[in-house]
Amino acid sequence: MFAAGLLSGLLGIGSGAFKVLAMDTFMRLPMKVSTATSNFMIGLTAAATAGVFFARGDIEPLLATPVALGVLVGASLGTIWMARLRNRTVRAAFLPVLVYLSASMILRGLGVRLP
Amino acid sequence: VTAVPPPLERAISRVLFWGGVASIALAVIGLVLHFAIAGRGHAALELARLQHREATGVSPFVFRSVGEIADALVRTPPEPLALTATGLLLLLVTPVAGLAVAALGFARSGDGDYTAIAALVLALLVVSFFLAGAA
Repeated sequence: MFAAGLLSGLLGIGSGAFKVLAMDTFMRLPMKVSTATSNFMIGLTAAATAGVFFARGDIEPLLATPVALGVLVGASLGTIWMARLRNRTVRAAFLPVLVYLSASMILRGLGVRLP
Repeated sequence: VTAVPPPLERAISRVLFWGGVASIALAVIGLVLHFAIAGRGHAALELARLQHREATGVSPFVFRSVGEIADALVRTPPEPLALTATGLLLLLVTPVAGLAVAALGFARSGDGDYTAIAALVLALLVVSFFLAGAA
């Protein structure tokens, strides 16, 4: 988990993918438990940094509200969906996300930004 | 057969769910009122704050402290975007409230180790909020 936090801080990406990978691979937790735990932890780590961004005036209400609304609706639907899926299916769905993240990090290092 | 979650998990789940719903509701209501007022040609922002923000180069729609939000809410007429900022602030503290409920639940059940861990994380978050406010 320390390495996940360190990498996310270094590379500027969300550590959720690393946390899920660490819990699934090294701690051998079921995939659903890993994703749910990661979700809860992201809220806490984000709260710590969001306070700083808020005080700096970096949170724009006109932009943050539609984004938060979309994320909340998507997350609610995703959670309902996940409860009905098997651990194996959730793991399979997680693979393309990891591939995209990996490709994104490598290309960013080469100066190319993916959408 | 669906497994019934234990009371602590249910309590945390309720705090997170209703915190999220309430915060988004406040933020959206504020946004709708903001555009409704601005659409009628009325000023949706306080003029003095607008001028000060323009002079300092900071977005006039942004609130940077609880005090700023409170001032904008009690002003006549109140600024709708302050309601949106209240919602966003509530969204920010919702996971912290969930953690506080978890810490209380662990303490009640006599789980010393997890109470200490939850209390430590909670303390770190509270310190980070104060440091952010002081910065």
